[in-house]
Amino acid sequence: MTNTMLNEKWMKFYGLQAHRFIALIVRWYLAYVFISASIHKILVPSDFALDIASYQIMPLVLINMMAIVLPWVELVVGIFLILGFRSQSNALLVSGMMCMFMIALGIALYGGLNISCGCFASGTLEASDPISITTMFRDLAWLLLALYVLVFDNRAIGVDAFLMNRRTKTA
Amino acid sequence: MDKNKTKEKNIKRTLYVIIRDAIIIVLFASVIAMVYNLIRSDGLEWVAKVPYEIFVPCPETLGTVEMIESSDPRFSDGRSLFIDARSEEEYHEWHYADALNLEYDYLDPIPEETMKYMSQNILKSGMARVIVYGDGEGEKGSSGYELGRELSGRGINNIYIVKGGVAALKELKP
Repeated sequence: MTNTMLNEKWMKFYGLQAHRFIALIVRWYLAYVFISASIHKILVPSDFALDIASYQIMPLVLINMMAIVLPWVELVVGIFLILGFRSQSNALLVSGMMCMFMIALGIALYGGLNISCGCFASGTLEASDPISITTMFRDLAWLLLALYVLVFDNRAIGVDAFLMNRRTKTA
Repeated sequence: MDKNKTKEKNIKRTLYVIIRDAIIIVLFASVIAMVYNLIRSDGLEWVAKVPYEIFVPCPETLGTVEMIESSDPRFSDGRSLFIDARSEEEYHEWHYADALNLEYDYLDPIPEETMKYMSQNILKSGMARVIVYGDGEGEKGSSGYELGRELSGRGINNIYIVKGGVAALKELKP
């Protein structure tokens, strides 16, 4: 198979209308994950700060800043994913956050730390999910979903599509 | 050729827009976060002044220990090395015979140098067993019991814990 043929096949696959609808479902699912993950962290930032500290990776000066800002980034990204506003940028942010979480998890697992993931409702080890290889695979799955949106959702159903249509009409 | 160049240019432009918008979204969220943190009564300080007290139960290798009564004949056969797991202050106030002091820290493991020192001491002494005592009754969670388990987990064999803790020893040898 020549490069041109492969290229054509890829373009055909890339241009499928179905991607818009699959991406819509994926976006809503990721939005649900991120919004639900952010709520507790926003309401009780001290718990989240403690979770960050327990990973023993971040310097003290950055822990609180991260505990304050990160949940809001998650919430805003979640809302924008639902609305279909700048979907690819939000998917890029989700991918970035997932990579960051996976690196932190990897370091913690390698160091043999038996701590709470801090991914959703924070708190004690008993109350939430402790870090494990499963957590890593879960994050990897979310990363792959975000990458799907990043690559294929260039005409996202929602605000992006609405703005694009308006721009086309105006032009 | 031109078509390819235009395509490449478009891809670059799209990537630029995606990254630019991502940065704007992060900035937008950060501003909301900062404002919300400022107006809420229980907002966090921007920079934590005191390190967070985290208790991370690491998967340390904890060994097994046996309990020993103060009336046990092995207790007084002269072949036991005693270790006091209480604080230095308490140790100086009263300690059993020639007991060594190794204060048990619930948060930090025994430093490597201390472990080496202990192992050498045990080898030199030619003792058959190590008897650990501390606060409490010698039950799970007491300093003596926990220190004994840590020592055992780190390669020291024949660890015994005094049943009744330091109180039982004081009765035996006030």
